[in-house]
Amino acid sequence: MKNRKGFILIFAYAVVSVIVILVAAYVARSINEMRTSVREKDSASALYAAEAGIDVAFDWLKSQPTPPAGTAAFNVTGGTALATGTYTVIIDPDDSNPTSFTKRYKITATGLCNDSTRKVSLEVVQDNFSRHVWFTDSETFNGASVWFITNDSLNGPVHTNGSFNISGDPWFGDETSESGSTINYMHGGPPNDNPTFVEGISFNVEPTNMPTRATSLRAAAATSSGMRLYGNTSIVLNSNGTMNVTNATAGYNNTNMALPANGALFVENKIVNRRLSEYGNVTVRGTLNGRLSIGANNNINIAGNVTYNNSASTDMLGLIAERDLIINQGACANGGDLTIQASMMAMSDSFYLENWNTSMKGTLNVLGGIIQKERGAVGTFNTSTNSKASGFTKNYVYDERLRTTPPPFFPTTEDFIPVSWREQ
Amino acid sequence: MKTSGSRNNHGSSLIELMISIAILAIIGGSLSYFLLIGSAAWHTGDAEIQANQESRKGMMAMVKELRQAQDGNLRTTADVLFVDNAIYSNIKFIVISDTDGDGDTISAGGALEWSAPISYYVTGTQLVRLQNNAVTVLANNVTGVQFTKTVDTILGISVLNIALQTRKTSTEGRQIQSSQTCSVKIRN
Repeated sequence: MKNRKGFILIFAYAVVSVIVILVAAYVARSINEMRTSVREKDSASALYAAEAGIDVAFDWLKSQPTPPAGTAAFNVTGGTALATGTYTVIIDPDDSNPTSFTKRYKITATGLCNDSTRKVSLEVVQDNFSRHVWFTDSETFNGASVWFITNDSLNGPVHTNGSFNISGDPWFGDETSESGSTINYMHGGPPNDNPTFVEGISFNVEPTNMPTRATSLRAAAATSSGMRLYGNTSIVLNSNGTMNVTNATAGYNNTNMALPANGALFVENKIVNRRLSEYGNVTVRGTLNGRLSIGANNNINIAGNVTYNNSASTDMLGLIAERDLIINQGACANGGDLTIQASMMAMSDSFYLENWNTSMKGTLNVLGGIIQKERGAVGTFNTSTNSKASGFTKNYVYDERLRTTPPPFFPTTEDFIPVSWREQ
Repeated sequence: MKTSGSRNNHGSSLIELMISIAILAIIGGSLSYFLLIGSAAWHTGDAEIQANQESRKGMMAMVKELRQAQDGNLRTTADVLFVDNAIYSNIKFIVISDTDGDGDTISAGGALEWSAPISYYVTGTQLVRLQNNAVTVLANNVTGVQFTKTVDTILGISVLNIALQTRKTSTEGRQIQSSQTCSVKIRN
């Protein structure tokens, strides 16, 4: 009987052993899977904690009345506890900040959740109107709608404080936003009007108020390293890094001179005996070799091609009129093309072609951006066919450098914008 | 009594042996059955875990990089720009990068610094990453990957939806499939 009991017992042990081994293996595998899941959850929590740190530091930076000075990195808030995880965050001012008009900062946040650590950084710069390929306060001119039409293409950031008017199939290749709530379509919208927004379009965006005075540029031009002139001025930019200036008040008659050292040139209205004697208008054309912003108390007229000597270099031009930016009819022949390489701003009025509805031009090639209070016209079109009836065909190409680097003393929006997000 | 008892014992032993053999067969059969079931379950689970791990590994590698991609510049490997809500089986993109090694992502000329193009696609049963002619395997046993770009018009952000499928064959020949999906906010 003892032997029989032992025989069964061996089988019982075998069965139990197999079951125990299987269960143990399953449990071990489950624990392993659970640990993997926990690690993933902690890693995700650490990332979100780091991003929370970035947001806190970015909001702090935006709330400062003036950009933080110096070049030394500093903590904003340290070890702040969240529901899951903690973060530490530092702001590192760019080394160029003490001498640069546009301040840059690198925010680096480290998120921690249990054993998981994630580190992300966000580079931010002071926002500047010049980072737009297109910005308007209103898409109307003297109350009349001005339209984007078929074949119009804008491949940089676009914003209007009003609402877009669209006829046909224009193309928007970057972030696009408006403060209005709808698009005004010429033919009722898709499929007759079918714009492309590669990055979508945001509605009801808080308006960005345009300044009416180029305060920083004016102040920089008034220093010993800038240039301030009074009354009508003509400037021809030379590819050798100089310019020829004509200004009766200063006694310049096509006088060759170096560009201002700080890149700031401003033309004021001429006041004589407390009365306006001569408007501060500027006429400009030529090839720029260097960095320059030209401001005018009144209008800037474009009298011919305005180009960079080397658009891949640091050559950069800002044209800032406190009133209008006008392309002269004589800037190019009828049927001819015109090239303007600059970021242009008409602070109180518009960018337009003189007598835009009287002659047929070629293509207006812009490398840079157009910022204006009221949208001016550079041509007209047939509302039935969306084809050009007068003026220019638009070819506006964004200068990617403007995303982070504006022309000297170009007006800022008094805000900061993120330019790059990285995980290290 | 002894003789009789001895006879009885012999008789019992034969029957007992037969019964024992029968019991042994039943127990052995049951044990084998349980072992086979357990083994199959084990191998199936193992294949499932391997399929999951591959898809998870591939997804994590893609998500980490795609977060840093340039918005508005997501393309197919044939350089066709992504259209919203369309489904693509490969992707080509660039990420923000400190290419000049100066500690930031803005070049001396003022432009943002971007990496060389990166591509993800499936070749054979491998999910691969291609950059500068260098191919890296992100995951094995992959049967498909899909990319779909959508735009959140309320938040004004672009979102890339990724779906990745993997398949692993267990030793019993069963096809175990795993699928992962993830939505990535494009940050640059």
